[in-house]
Amino acid sequence: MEETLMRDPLLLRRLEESIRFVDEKIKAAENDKRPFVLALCGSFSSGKTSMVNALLEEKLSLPTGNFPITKVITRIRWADRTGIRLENPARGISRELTLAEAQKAARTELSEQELGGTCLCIETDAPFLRRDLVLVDTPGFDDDVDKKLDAVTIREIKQADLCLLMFNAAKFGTRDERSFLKEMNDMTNGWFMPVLNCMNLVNTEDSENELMRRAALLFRDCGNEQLGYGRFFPVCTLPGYTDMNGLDAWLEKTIREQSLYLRHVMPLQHAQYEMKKIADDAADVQTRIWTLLAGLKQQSDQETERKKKQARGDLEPIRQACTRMQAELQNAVIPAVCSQFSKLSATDFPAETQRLLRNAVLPFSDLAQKKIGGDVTPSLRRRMEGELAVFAVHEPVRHVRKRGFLEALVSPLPYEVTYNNFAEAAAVAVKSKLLPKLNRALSDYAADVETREKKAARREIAAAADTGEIALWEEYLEQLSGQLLTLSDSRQKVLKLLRSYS
Amino acid sequence: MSDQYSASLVSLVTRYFDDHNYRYEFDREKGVLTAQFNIENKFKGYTQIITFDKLTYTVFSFLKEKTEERWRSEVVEFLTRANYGLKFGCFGMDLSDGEIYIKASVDCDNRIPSTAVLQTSLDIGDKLLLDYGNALWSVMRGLASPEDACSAAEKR
Repeated sequence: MEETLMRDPLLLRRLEESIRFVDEKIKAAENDKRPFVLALCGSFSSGKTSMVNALLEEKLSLPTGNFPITKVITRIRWADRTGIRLENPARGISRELTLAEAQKAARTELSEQELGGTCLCIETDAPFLRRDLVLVDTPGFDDDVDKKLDAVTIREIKQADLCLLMFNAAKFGTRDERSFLKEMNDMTNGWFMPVLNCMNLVNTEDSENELMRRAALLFRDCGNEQLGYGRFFPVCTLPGYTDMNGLDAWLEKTIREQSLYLRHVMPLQHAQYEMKKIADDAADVQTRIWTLLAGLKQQSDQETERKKKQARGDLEPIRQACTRMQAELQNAVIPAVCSQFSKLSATDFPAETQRLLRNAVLPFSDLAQKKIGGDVTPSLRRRMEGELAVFAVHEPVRHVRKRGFLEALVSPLPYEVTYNNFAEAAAVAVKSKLLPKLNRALSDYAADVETREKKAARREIAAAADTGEIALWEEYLEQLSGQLLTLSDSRQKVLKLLRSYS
Repeated sequence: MSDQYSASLVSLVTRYFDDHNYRYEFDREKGVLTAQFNIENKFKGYTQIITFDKLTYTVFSFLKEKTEERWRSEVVEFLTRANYGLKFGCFGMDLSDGEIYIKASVDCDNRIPSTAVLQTSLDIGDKLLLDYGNALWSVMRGLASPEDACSAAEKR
């Protein structure tokens, strides 16, 4: 199933951590006075502490087994006297402890807190430590159920110059060693040496041969990359029966010959490896986001285009309705009104014509408004009312003529009163003066409706174009890219340092 | 970080540089990446400057040597002749001081440039200088006519 792409804050955090990790490595590589750090790691009861005792030639004799001191990170360094200290250089803590206090601290404060740089330091005058060497005894991988210690152990392993990876010969092959070895290769950049401890527990020669065959096969496939595939040391660290099988000599030789490389170049190579790995992961996500964004933008463009087309389509009926209503006004309403003028008497003609026009035009304006579109300000009705109000209908012109003598005999009135063709004159005025104004009112109204519709369409188009999803992804992409740029800065620093060492 | 350029484009280019172990400097304020490259011809090397904006990046490869004033018209003719047949990238010259550059611009709107596009655009200076560099060097010193030098470079 295809993995869903997420705006994953964990990736940003991983990048941040990698940048911090690389900075630490750069600092470690630049620090000439830094001691050589040899870490011992392995699963619970794999003989780490007994290996420490063996390396120190029983100078310290740390109690082995489920002993609380070595359930937390323990550093062992050279001093001219033996003692235990609780240290946190960042917080300026350094206090001497008795064995009982150390056991109590390991059970309480050291196991409960996040171990933010606080650790137990054991000082001893064992010759093995004279060469500015620090042994780091880590808790077994399965010691803590909530895995809090695992994270600290992994950090220590990553910061060490060389690791001894301890396996209990009696339990060898009962776990998923392959993935564990792969993980160790990643964590140490290939600088670890597998050690098969507790060889005294392998009773028969056949079982020993079988064990050695299986171990050789396993380490040839998944052993360390830097120290030669397939290489491992079978040892016995049982007090009184110690057989290091050349491991101590190999360690001395490696530390003597490779110290400069391991202390300066290897941390940088390790950092380079880490950076490459995280940069590749992030770049993969970046590419996928870019592709996703391209799709989203294309979709948004299509949506915008569709909305534009729709908006253009929406305006057409308005124009058509306006033209239709103008034609209706031209063909039906005004001529009908005009024809009724002839039925009106000369008396109160202007008022009557106004009434007729109002009765015909105002309901028409409501109808037109309905057909063209919704109500807009100023409304069509008000505009037409205004036009009607300013439209002046001339009063009928009266002609008075005095009758002649003979006419006067026939007619009782001495004067004859006639009117001009007032109905026709009014109809002409309506057609030539009022009708164009009403038509203009209709057009203006339609234009108002059109403008309003265009504005609404623009809003819709803008909404279609600017989807929040795109903005969110772009923001995430910028954050990710910003982190990648910082990582690139670190990569350049590492490259510069590596060149200076080469 | 400046709002004038796309950080994702920059990270894409810096990653290419990092993966090839190239040294460079990136000015975050201006959005300009600078790198120095050596080349196996008479110019010996060039400076690559990449400018970024929101949707595009432009690669300039500046020669370290400038054209003397007396040979500028010949060099301009040579560059025009060379540009005529180019599919991607172009030569240019600043007539005020005789500085010569190769320029290529990539539009990345709505699409991520593939590795091939990235490689072509970033290696364009190298490629064009390998093809035309020695001929240009001769024209810059008046040792060859622009026409002869250009046709000789294109025959190679």
